[in-house]
Amino acid sequence: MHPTRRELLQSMGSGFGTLALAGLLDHAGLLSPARAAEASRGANPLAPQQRHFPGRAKAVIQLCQNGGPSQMDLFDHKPELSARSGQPHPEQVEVFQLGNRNVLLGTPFKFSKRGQSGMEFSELIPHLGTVADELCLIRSMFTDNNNHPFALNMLQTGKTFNGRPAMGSWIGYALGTENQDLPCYIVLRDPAGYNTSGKMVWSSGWLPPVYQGTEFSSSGTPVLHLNPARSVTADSQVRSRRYLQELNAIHLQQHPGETELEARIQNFELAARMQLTATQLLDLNTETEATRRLYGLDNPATAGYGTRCLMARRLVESGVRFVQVFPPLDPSFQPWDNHSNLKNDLRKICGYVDQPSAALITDLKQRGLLDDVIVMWTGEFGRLPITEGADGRDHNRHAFSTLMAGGGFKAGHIHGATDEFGYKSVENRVSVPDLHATILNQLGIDHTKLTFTHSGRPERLTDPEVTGARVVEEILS
Amino acid sequence: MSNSCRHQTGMALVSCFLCLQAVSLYAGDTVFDVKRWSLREEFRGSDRGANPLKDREEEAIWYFLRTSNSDGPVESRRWIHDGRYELLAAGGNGLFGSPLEGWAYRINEPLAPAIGRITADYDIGLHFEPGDILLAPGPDHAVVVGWRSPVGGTLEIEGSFEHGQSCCGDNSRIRWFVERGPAYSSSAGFTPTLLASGDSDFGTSTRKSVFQIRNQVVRPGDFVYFIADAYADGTTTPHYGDGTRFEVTMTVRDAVVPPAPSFETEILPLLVAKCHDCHGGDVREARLDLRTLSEILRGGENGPAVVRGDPHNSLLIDLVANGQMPPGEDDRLTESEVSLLSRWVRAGTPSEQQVIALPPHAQVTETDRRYWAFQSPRRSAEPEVRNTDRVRTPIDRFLLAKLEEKGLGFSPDADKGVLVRRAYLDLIGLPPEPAAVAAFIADTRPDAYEQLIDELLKSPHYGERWGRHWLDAAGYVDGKLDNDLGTMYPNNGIWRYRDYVIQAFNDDMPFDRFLTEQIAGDELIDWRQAETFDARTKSLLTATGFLRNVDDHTDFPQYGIEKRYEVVNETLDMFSTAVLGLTMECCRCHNHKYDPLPQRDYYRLMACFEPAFNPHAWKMPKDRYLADVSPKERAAIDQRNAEIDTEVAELSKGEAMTREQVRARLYEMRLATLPEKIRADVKQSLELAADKRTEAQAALVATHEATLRISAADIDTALNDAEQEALKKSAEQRTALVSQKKSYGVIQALWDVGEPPVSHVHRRGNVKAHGVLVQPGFPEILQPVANVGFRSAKVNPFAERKATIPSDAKGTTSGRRLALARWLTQPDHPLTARVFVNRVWHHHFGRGIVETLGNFGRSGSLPSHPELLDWLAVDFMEHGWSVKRLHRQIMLSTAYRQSSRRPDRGEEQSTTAASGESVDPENRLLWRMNLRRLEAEIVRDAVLTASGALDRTAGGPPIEITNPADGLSEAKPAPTPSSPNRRSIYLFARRVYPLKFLEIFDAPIMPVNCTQRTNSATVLQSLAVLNSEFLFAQSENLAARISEMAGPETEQRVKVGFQIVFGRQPTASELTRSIAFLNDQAQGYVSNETPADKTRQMALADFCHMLLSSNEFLYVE
Repeated sequence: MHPTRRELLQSMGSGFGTLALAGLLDHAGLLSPARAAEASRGANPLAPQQRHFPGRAKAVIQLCQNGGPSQMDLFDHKPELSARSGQPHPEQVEVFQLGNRNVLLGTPFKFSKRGQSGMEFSELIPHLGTVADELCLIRSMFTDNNNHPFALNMLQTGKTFNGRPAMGSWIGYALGTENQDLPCYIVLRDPAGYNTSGKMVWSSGWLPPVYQGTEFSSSGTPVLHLNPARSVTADSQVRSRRYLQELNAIHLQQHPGETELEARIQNFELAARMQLTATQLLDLNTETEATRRLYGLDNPATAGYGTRCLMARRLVESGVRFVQVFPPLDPSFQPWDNHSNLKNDLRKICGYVDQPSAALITDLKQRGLLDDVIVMWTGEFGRLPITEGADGRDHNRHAFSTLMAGGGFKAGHIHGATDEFGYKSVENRVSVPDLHATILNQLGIDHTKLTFTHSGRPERLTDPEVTGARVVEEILS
Repeated sequence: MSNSCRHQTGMALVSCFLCLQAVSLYAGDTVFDVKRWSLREEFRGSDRGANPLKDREEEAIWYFLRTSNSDGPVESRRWIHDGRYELLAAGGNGLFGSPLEGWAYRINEPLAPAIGRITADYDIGLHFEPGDILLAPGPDHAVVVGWRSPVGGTLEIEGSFEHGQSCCGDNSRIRWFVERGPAYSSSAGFTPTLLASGDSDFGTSTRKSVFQIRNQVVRPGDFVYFIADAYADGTTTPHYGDGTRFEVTMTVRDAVVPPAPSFETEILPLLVAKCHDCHGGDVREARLDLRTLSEILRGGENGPAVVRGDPHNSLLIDLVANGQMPPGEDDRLTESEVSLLSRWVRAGTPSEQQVIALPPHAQVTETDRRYWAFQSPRRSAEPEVRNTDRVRTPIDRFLLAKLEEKGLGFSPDADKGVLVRRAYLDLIGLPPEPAAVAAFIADTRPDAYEQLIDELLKSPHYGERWGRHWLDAAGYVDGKLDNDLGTMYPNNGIWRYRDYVIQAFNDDMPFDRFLTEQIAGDELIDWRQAETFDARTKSLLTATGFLRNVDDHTDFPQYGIEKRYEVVNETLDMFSTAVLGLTMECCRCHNHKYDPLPQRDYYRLMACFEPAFNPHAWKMPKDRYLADVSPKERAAIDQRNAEIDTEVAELSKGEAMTREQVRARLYEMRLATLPEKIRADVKQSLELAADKRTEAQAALVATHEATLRISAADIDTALNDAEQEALKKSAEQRTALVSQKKSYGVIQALWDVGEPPVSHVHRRGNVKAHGVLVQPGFPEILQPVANVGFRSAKVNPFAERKATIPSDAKGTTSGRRLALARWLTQPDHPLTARVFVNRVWHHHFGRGIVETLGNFGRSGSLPSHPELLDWLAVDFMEHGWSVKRLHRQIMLSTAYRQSSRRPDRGEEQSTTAASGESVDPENRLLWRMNLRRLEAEIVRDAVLTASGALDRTAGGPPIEITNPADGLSEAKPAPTPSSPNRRSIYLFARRVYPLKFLEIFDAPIMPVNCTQRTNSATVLQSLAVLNSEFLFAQSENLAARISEMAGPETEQRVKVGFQIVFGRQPTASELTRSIAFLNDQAQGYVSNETPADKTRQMALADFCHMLLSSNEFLYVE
C-alpha cells in the first residue's frame, strides 16, 4: 500500500536530520561581545532568545487600521465639538488636503458608556463596547507626520523615513520564535491586495531578512510556493527530495564547516514541515461553529477580516511571535481614510472590523491567552475636528486613539486626553516610540538595550536618545 | 589658518565702506547728495529673496507685512490703525493663479493679503505689465509695505496707488495710507503719524491716486508704512482687493550714513542682557563665550559667531534675526537691536579691545585627521615574503606577508574546472558551457588563464554583470511610486541610464570619467544651445540619471518644500554611501556622532546639488526629463505637433458637422412619416427629459422612439455622394497629418534649474528652520589642511561667489556638480578610489578589505589590509582608473586562484586548511577563497543558461513584470515570447516589489540605495526552488536539452547534466546514485496512461530540477 501524502511529507520532514550541526557558534569568539550576540543567532536566527527580564507577554497581534480612524467619531467623545459644529476652529488647524475650511464638524454618531469602566464608545463599534473592560484606551497618541506612508513608517519602525526595520522584525530578532516550523513574523492581509505602502510596512530594513514579515494568505495556499506549481505525486516528491539531500550531503562533505550550507539543508526539511504545519494550522474548519460565528465567519461583511483575526489567534497559539492583521480594502486600500462620505464609509469599515476585533479579544480571554498576548488596535494617525467638504475629515498627526489589550496592559483603563475638540493630545501624551518601548517592556525587552549594529551604529527601535522614548508605566497593570 | 583670510575679507569690506565716505569727503562733505530707493527696482520674489528684502548693501530696508487684526466681521470691517503688523509668509511663484512672484499670508494656500511682482502681462480691467508691483488687500487683513531708512537726511516720498477690480460691482475701492512710526511689532503696536491717505476707486477718474510727501526728517532706522485696505462701507461685502498697482520711490537728500556702533557702549550691553546667561561666564553652551571680542571671533562649536564685515555669513546675526536665539519668546531681539548688531559686524566689528587670535573650537581636529580613511592613499613598498613561489602579483605579497606573520600561507590553486566556473560567474554572471570548460581544461598554454580572463572581459555580458553592482549602489529602479496599490508607473526612459552603465563597463570607461559624467555630464557640454544632440551629448545627459534614482513623491501639489528637500536629502545619502563611502544622513539634523562630519558640511555638500534639485524652482518628476533631441528640435516638434493637433481637430469638427446635418435631415424625413397632427407633440416630448414628460407624452415617446432613433450606421447609409467624398477626403487628410507627427525619446536627467538658491543649514533637519548660510563645499575632513573649508581662493572653486563655474563647465549652469566631480577624482582624494576598489574586491572575494562597503568612517569596520587597499587604489588611479585592468590585477593573483576548501574534521593540523581554520576561522587573511552564494539575478540567469532558454538580447526598455495579488510576479512575454528569459538586469526593476523570485534571493528592496546586499538562507528560498513554476519549466527545458545532447543512455544523461549544471563530471558514487534515482523515479511514474519514454523524460526533468535546486549549483567555489 502506498503511504499517504501526509505520511510521506512527515517522513521527509524529520527523516534526514542526521547531519551533525555542532560547532556552529565556535567562530563567534573572535567578534566583539555586541557583534557576537548578533552573530550567535547565525546558526538558527529564530531560536528562542534570552529576554532582558521576565516579560508579561509572549506574542503580539497588531490589528493595523491603516488610513487613520477618526477618534472623535469612535473613541473620543467631544460634546463641545458637537455643540460648536459649524463654527470656525479658534486656531488655524494643520491640514493635509488643501482647501479645507477651518470649520468644526461634530460627530454624526451617538456615544454611550460601555462596560464597568464606562468608556464612551460610538454606536459604530458595539462589539468593541462589549470588551471595553478588557481594553486600555489611550486617547493621547500623537505622531510626526500627517501623510500615510510616513506615518505608517513611524508606526511600524519608529521613524518617518523608509528603510528601517518594523517593530515585528525587532521583536523576532529579540526573542526568536517558539515554533520552528513557522516564521516568527506573519502578515495577514486582504487577499485583494496590499494596503498603503505594502511590504514596506513589514520590512526588516537592515535586520537580517529572516525577520521580515512573511505574508500568509488567508485564502488558498497560506505561504508562497508552499505547494508545487505543477502537480506531482507525493512519492515522486519524496524521492526527488531525498536525492537532493544526498547531492547536498556529498557537497557538504567537500565543504566541511560551511554553516550556511548546513542551514540550507535544514531549510529543505523545514520547507517540508511547513507544508504540513501551515496547511493544518490554517484549516479553520476544525474550529467550533460557535467560534466561527463569534468571528463573524457566517456573515459576508465580517468573514474576511474575521478569518484573519481567527488565523491570528491560531498562529500565536502555536508559537508565532508577531502577527499583523490588515482590514479589508474597502472602500480603498486605506479603508479608514474618510476624507469624504464619513457617515457611510466609516459605518461600513466599522461593520467589517468591529465584530472580529472584539471576537479576537473575547476568544483570547476565554482561552486564557489574553495574559500572554498583546493586542494592539491602532491607525497611523487620527482625523481633524474640522470638516473636509461637507462630510469628511482630513489627517491629524496631533491626536489619535489606540486600543491595547492583554499582555499586562491595564484593563478598563483610559489614559490621556485631547483638547475640547479632539484636535491635539494635551494630557499624558504618548508618542509612538513610547508605545513601542512599552510593548517591548511587556515582552521582557529593555528597549534601551535591544540594539543591532548597522553601518557601525548600534541602532534601536525607539532611538531613545533622540525620541526620548520611555515605558509608559501608567498604562500597565 | 583661516582667520587671516577672513580678516582680509573683513578688511576689504571695511575699506570699501571707508572708500564711499572718502568719495563724499572728496566732495567736501561727510554726506551723500542723494540716495534713492525704488520698490519696483528692488523688489525680489520670495524664491530668492527674504522678507524683509535686502538692498545691495545688504541692509534690510523693505518689509512686506499684514495688519494683525481687523475690526469686526468681514461685512463691515475696517482695519484698526494700531500699528500691529506681522510679516507676510513666503508665497512663491504664481499666487492665486496670477503671474505673480512674491509674498502672501499663507504659504500652502495663498490668501490675501499679498504682494508680488507681475511676471507676465495680466489684465483685470487694469492692465499690468511685467515688473509692476501688485498689492492685494485681504478680506480680513490689510496689506502693508514697510520701509526702513538706513541713513539720516531729508526724505521725499513719491508714488501712487492704482486699483483694479475684475468683479464684485460697487465695492471697487481701496483705502490707502502713508504713515510713519517706529519699528513694526505684532504685539505692542503703536500710534502712527499719518502723512497722507486717500481712496483709489476703479470705477472713477480717481483710480490712480498719487501722493507726494516732502521734507520729512529721517534718522537711520526710521520706518515709513504704506497700507492698502479693501474698503467696506458697512452696507455691502467688501471685495477682496483684486489688484492694486503700487509704485513708490524714496529719496533722501543730504544722506548721512550712521557711524559704526561701539562695541563697548552699544553691543556689549546688548549681549550682556540677552546672551551672557548661556554664553558667558560659567555657562558656555556650544562652547560659545560672547564676553570678549576675541572669543566672539573664535566662536563656538559651530564656528565663529561673527565673520567680520559679513553679517550674512555670521551665525550670531542669523540666529538672532531668525528669532532662534535667544530661545525664550520674550527675550527676542527687536528689529533695531538686530540691525545694530548687523551694522557693527558689517563695519568690521570695531572695538577698543585688543583681539587675540584664539584657535577655533574646531569641528575637525588633528586627531580626526589622523584616522586612516581621511588621509590620502599612499603606495607603500611591496612587503618581503618567504614563500615567493606563491607570489604572482603584488597583491599576493601584501596578503602573504600577513598570512606568514600568523604562520599561514595560501591554499593550493583551485582545479581548472573550478577556476573557469568561478571566472565566468564572477565576470559575466553566467556559468560556462561544458565545451568552454573542456576547452579551458585542455588549454595547456602557460597563459591560458590570462587568455580566459581577457576573453571574458571582452564579453558584452561583462557589463551586464558589473553594471548591476553599480546600479545597486545607485539605487536604480525602473518604476516610481511603487507603494501604491498594484500600480506600476514606469520612470520613462530611465532604462537608458541602465544601458549607459552597462556600456560604460563594457567600454572600460575610466572610472573617474564615469563618475564625472554621472554627476555632471550636463555641465560638460552646452546642450541647451545645441542645434542637434549627437551621441555623446545624449550619453552625457543620460549619465546624470545616476542622480535620478531616489523616490520622488512630489508629482502631487500637496507635497510642499519638505518633500522636495526629502528628494535632495535622499540623493545626498545615496551619493555619500555609494561614492564617498560615508553615512551622512545623520548630519541632516546634527553633527555626526562618530565621524568628524559637522552638520554644516552636509549642507555645503547639498549646496552642490541644490541648483539642480532647486526646491524653489522645483521640477516635478513628471516634468524632470529631457528629450533625446535638442531643445530647439524639441520645440519645433512640439510646435508642429500642436499645429497638427489643431488642424486635425478642425477636420474632425467639420466631419462632425457634416454628419450632424445628415442626422437632422434624416430626422425630419422620419418625422414626416408620422401623422401630421402628432408630429409636433412627438418632437416636443422627445426633447423633454424622461422625468418631465406627462403620461401622454411618455406614451408617444414609447411608440415612436424607435422610428426616430438615428444610429451612426443610419447616417453612414444616408450620406449622399458629395458628403461621402468630403468625409473620406477629410479622414484621409487627418491620417496624413497624424502620420506627420514626430516624437522623441525621454532621457531622465538632471540639470540646473532656475537661479542657484541660497543654501542654509536646516536646524535639526527642519527645512523651515534656517540656520547659518553656507556656500557650496566639501566635507572639511576630506580636504588637505591647507584647503580647509575652501577658505583659500587658490584651491577653492567656490571661493568667490560669482566664480563658481569651473573653467570647463559649459553652458548656463552653476558648475557646482562639475566642481564636485573634479574634487572627487583628484588623485589625493582619500576616499573615491579606495571605496571603489574595495567594492570590486568585495565582489571578487565575498568580503571587502573594508567590510562595510558604504561606510569607511569610524563606525565602519577597519581595513583588514590597509596597505593593500592603498596600493590597489593608487595603482588604479595611476593606470587611468581602468576597471578592467583592476579585475586582471585581482584575478591573476594567487589569492584569487586558491581553492575554497576548508579542512575535514580531524585533518592533520599541519595542512594549510587546518591551521588556517584554527588561527583565522573567519578567513580575514584569505588563506583560502571564500565559498560564495550566487546573487539573485545570477541564480536566475544561471538557471536560464543551463536550461538553454536564456534570451541574450541586450538593452532597451525593461521587460514588464506582472503584479498579481498573491505576489508571485513573473516576467511578461512581451515584446517577444522569449522576453521573460532575458537576463534579470533587463526585467522591470521595482523599488519595493522586485520580481518575486529575485526578491526571495535577496535582490535589494530599495527604499534607498543598496550599498551591500544581504545574503540570507531562508526557507522561502528552499520553497521557491522546489515548487516554483520557473524551476519546473526550466527543468523541463534542461531535460530536453540533455536528451538532445546525451541521447537515450541514462549514464550519459547524468554526465551531461552534471557538466551543464556543475561544470564537472559526476563522481562514481554520484553517477551510481543518480542513475538509481532516474530509474526509480521513472518506475514510479509508470502507469497505464503514461508511456515509458514519457516517464523517463519526467524523471529526467526531476533530476534536472534537483540539480538546479542543489547547493552546489547555488554556490561558487
